[in-house]
Amino acid sequence: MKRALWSLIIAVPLVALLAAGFGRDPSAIVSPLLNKQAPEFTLRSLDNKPVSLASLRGRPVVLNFWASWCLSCKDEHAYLLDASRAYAADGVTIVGVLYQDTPADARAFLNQYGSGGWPQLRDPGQRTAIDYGVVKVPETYFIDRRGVIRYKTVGPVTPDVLAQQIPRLLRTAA
Amino acid sequence: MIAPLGHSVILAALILAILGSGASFTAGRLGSASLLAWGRRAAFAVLALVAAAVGLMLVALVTHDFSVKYVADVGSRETPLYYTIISLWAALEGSILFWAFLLAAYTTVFLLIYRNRFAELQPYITAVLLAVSAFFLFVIAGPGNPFQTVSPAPADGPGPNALLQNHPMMGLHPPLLYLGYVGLSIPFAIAVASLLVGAPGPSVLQLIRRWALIPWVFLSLGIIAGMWWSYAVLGWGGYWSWDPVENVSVMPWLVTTAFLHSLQVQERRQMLKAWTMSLIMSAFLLSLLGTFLTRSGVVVSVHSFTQSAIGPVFLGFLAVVLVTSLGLLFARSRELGAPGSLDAAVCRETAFLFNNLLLVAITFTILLGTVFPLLAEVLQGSQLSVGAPYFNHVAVPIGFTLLFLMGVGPALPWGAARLEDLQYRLLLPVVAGVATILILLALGVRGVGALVTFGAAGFVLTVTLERVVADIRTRRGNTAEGLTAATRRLMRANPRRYGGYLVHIGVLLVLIGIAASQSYQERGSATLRPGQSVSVDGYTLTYRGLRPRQESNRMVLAAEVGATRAGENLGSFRPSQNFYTAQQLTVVTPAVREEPWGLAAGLFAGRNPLPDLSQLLHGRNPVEDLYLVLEAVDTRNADQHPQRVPGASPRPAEANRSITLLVLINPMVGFIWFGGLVVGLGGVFALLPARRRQRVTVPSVEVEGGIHRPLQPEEVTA
Amino acid sequence: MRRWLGWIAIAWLLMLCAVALIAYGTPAGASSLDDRTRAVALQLRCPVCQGESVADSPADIAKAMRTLIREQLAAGRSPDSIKAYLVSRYGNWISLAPPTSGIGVVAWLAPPLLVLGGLGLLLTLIAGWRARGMASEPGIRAAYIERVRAELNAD
Repeated sequence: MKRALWSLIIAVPLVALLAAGFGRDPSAIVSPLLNKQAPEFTLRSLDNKPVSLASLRGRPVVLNFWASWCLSCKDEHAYLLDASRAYAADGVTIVGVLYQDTPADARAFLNQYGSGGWPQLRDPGQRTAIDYGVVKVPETYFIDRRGVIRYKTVGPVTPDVLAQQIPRLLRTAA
Repeated sequence: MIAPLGHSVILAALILAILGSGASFTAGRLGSASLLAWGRRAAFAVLALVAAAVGLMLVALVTHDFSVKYVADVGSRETPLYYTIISLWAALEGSILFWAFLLAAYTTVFLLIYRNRFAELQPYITAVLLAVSAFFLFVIAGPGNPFQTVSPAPADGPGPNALLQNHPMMGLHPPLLYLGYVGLSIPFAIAVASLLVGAPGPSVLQLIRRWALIPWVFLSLGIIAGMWWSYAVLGWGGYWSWDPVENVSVMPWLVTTAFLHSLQVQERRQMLKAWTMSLIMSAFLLSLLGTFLTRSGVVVSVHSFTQSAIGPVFLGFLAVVLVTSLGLLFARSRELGAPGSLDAAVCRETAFLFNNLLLVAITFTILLGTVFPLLAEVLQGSQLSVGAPYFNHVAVPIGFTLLFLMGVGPALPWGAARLEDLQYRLLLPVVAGVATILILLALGVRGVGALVTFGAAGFVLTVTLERVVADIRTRRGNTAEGLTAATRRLMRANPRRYGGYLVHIGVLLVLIGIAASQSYQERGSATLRPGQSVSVDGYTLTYRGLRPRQESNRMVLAAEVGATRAGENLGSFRPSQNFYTAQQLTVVTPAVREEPWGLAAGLFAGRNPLPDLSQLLHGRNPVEDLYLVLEAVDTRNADQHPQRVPGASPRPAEANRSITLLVLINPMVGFIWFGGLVVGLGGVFALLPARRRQRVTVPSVEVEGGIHRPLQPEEVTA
Repeated sequence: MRRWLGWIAIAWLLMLCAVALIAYGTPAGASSLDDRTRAVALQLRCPVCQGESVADSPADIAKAMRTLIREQLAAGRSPDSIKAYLVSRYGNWISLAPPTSGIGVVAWLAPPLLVLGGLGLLLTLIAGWRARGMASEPGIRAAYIERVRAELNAD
């Protein structure tokens, strides 16, 4: 009988290991860019003006990757509009980057849902998206005054996240 | 109506399975024949009930009764009838119902065949099989219930996953695999029963062997069918991607193969009993583990069914089976642990031991790689992937070694081999292997990995054929039979051995096909307007135009592509992108010209194969697949995202849209499918009972006119 | 010496084979940019798929990555540095092979250790079994073998 107890000794750790797999979301990913310098970029906006990340140093930046065909980007856009109005005086800049989209469709989206006036940048070949490790849209990066990525949301931003993270960015020193 | 009825039927089956299992187990303890009879009746009743449940589900699917949850999940009025029927196993709950049905069928067949034999084991075998059935029925009745009522019933459903209704092979691949997985319950049950009673004797071992070989054949065919499905349907040009669901199908196969070999050592020398038992019990455990891994959401896979409550239940059952198996093995370790002995270090027994080592090593590696992402995250929080680069790196060397072993093993005799004698047996095969490599090198074939594979294949083939020839020669020397008679009788007398050799040859063909197709694939891709052509590796592909076609459940956007090679017209092909309206999903469907099936089919159709075969003279391999993929339509919009569906609404001048065509030339892939069939055939042959007829001469005396009577013992003089 | 003639022939043939393979077995000429791009892309996981490689995935992000890899290879960067770049942006999971440091070491070391350890165990067991086999009834066995040899030699 004592020998049969060995079976429990072998079985329990194996089963526990597999059981620990529950509750994990195998598709939830942690970005390696957190608390690192945000990759530099210079992209042209829909109005054909060049915008670089370096030019925004000193101000908190909310970098939002989106597309007109993505359903949840519609909801997110409304929250971003609210946030842009709320934090306009604090110098927070929202920057949008198109992901696999055409300028025509993007403009149509903005006409329909409202352009917040912040720069909307074209990203040919998705080079900047790859640079930031974007997996799918929407994804949003919260960058502080020194250009360090402090937070990343995968999926649409919610008012809660905006209310939490933007003040955090404002609190950081330049 | 169907939903509550189906649910009740399953509940009834569950109750009967539990009662039957208990009754059978008690029958074993008490030696009660009447209790055992009740247990058997319960098993038959379970089959009837589960069959009824399957029947109800099929009726619900075909009549589009969307009040049944499973039908609401996978049914659709637009899906063609064939795919509606096979959607029985398209999703999680239905596939578990199918599993339970196959298990009940296997149980019934087994009990009927052996109703008058193995009386000691019958109660426990019945008990174990009914207990496993009870588990699956519990899952169907509870967490994975396909018979839930949906109210109000929707008007239509999404249909099965687009990938699963894209090709008729979906009707063959899962049933073959399931017959393999489920079938492993039987040798497991026999093993458990024999350990409960004492230790397995020779006749029980033969029984386990037979009932391990049957699911092994199904698994082999199912794995090959899955590879073919991946190749011909998924459109990426490959047949194996080390996806977790592929890995879990091959692990029980490897372990059962190891079992079939170690069993032979046990038969001859009465050693390795515990090891052999562990192997066959692990095979069943691995098939359960595989089901768990791919259905619980714990590991990400293209086959992943959604996360559900089924996961923890499966894990619990797995734990129970694991503890029971280990417990029994430990408890019986004295009976199983007879000390072994060998007459020599170099003999077929040790070759089989090495075979086992390598097969178990590959299995463990595949298991480790498959669960490693889970392990890393749980133990360290790291997120990693483990894919083809890892598996290829570790499995291929072990695979090569096994390939060589397939040649060395049959060359070694049982018992003892003198090293000096062995060299003469191996010399001719080595010559053949080296000659193969040198000849291929001279013909211009390159690539070390492929060449070594081909050389090893030559080596193994020569060993195998030399063994068969030697056996025939020996028999003819003893019996003076003609060649065909000797061969026929020899094979019928020893189906195990020759079935095994045939399986080895089949494996060789598969490995040759894999080596060639991995090493010599050619690719080319081009954007074409109608009338334009692209040339890849001697083939010229001309895009003629787009031919969209609306079907009941999907929009088939096919491109007509004409193919020629060295001036010979090979016909017209239609790679397509199939857009399934209900799920808004596009499935890229390739068009494949497969050889050597094309040659064979052409022969039957009266087409002359010589032009194709004459390609050999030009230094081209006639056995290669032409594989066409419609990568994109209207490719001028480079930024076009994937969710905007190309061609969702046909426009005029449809036929003139430009396409991006991907052309793959895959050499010798046909060898894989053919080799798979040979493996299956070999396995089936090995299942045949050995027919050994012996002439018996009876001394007799003539009574009158040609009639003889046998001599009585007292009449026999000298 | 004559007893080992066969082994010598086998060894010689295998050596011949090895030489031929090394000398002629590798295809001449460097692989094309397409092939090298594919080789790198095969080692990376498509971010939006479940386990497909960047090489085989039809997703647009995979296409964009393939173009990126191609450009960087053409510019002279090494495959390892391109992989490292993508790992630095996406995380270790984008490499289809586990890393060779940290817990990934377990994945790489476990198979060879298992094979070597198993081999050692097996050889020890075989030696023990053989010893037991030699020890049991050697007299009868040896006498029988001698008789057979004598009869064979008498023909």
